[in-house]
Amino acid sequence: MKIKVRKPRFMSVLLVACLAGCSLLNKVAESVNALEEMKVVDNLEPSEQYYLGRGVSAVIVDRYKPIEIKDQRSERQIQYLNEMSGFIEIAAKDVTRSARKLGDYTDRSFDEQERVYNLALYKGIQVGVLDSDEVAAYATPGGFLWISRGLINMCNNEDELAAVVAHETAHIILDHGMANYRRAHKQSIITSTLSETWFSGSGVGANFGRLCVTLSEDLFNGYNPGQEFEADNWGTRALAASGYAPDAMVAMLKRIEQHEKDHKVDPEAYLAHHPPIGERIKAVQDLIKQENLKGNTGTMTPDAIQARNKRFEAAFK
Amino acid sequence: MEWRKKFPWRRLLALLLVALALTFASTFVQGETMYVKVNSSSPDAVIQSSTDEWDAELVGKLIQNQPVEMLDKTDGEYVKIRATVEGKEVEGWVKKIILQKKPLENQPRVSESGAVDTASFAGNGYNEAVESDMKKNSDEMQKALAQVDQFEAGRNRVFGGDPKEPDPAAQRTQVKKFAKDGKLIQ
Repeated sequence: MKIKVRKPRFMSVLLVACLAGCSLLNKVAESVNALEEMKVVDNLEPSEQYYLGRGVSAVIVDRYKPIEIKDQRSERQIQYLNEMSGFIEIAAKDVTRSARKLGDYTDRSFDEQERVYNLALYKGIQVGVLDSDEVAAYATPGGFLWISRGLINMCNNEDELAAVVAHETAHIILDHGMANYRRAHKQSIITSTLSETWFSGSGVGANFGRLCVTLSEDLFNGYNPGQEFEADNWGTRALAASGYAPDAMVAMLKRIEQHEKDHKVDPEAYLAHHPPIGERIKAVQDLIKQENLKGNTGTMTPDAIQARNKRFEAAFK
Repeated sequence: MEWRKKFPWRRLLALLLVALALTFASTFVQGETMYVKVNSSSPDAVIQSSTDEWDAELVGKLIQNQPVEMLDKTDGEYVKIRATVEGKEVEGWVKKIILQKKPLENQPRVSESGAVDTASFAGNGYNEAVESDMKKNSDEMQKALAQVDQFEAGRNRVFGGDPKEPDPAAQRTQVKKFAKDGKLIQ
């Protein structure tokens, strides 16, 4: 009997709650909209990130010189790398959505997390090759990704090159460049020695130039350890999601470790912000083991591996 | 009847309210006009026939600041819209992330004095004009940006577009072919 009385009570409570809820929710929605407007204060439009990326890229290519896209071979290389990054970006979209699972490498606020989920690139990711024997790669805000000839030559097969591309794509997708931009702005860091050499004047253009040069100098030191670990993590998951061998990330990191030993690279001078490579290798190995990451069965057949390596050899060897 | 007493009615009510909240708090409202925030050369600046990343057909291309009308359907990262493309009204799916509520304005973010002031920061405006002004201030930057221009033009040519703009449709087709040839997708 009690139930018969309770049922209508419950339903009326629900109805009142819904009506009250609708009004309350409209207010919540208004507040959310207001907050969205405020976010603009420290966020840049995709087009602005692109122009910032162009400015930063200018300093990178001034230092290394990009390969000229003038013949069939260079066109093939650019096409190959851009198709690869485009594919990884699409195939790894679920990895981005599960960014919270990337590990607690970066102290990302709710707003910053939302930026990652809602990141839109003005012209997509654009991959270029730097004509240098140095082992280097840079990802800028706005989607520019630069890989040196030296680093490409270090790769033994397509899956290893995909590991490099996936790691750098991670810096773009996870908004690392823009996080550094916001930090620089908060600390009012828009000048450096080089920026003062390039820009002596004043005004909007000169100040924008100083900002671009300063950010690129920051980039030459590498992203911070948390961002590097996070990019390794995203990149390894992205390899698995794309059908590439996640172990390729370990192989590439080991190759870089060997390169550092062989060339007695001074960690202070070379990517000074990067964490010790041994720690990165271990973190990736642990991730592969814990998450049981592996390439898709269909993509790991001898036939499939051969198809990828054949085109890799044709393009780069 | 004991189970009815023990049944977590309050939790159910809370869940219903949360579900309602999620429905009403949705950023997209049917009939609302939103604007495209990416360049027409972005691989995402397209209207698709479905939300299938690999098999959808392209219904039309979008340009920056183009108004689109929100329709009543969303599916994961996609939302259904209506837009005018080359004089024709078309409907299809676009990624939510390429839309914003207001068209892009052009106000400088870096102040004349160089100070990081919130007012100028709140505007929009690292753009071609600011870049042009930057080039006037530095020969080094002017030469370096010419190399970036050369790179972008070369890359765009590779993707079947004119040097200023690659063709998003060609990019998507080539990416799909790359994945198929490498036996990364079926």
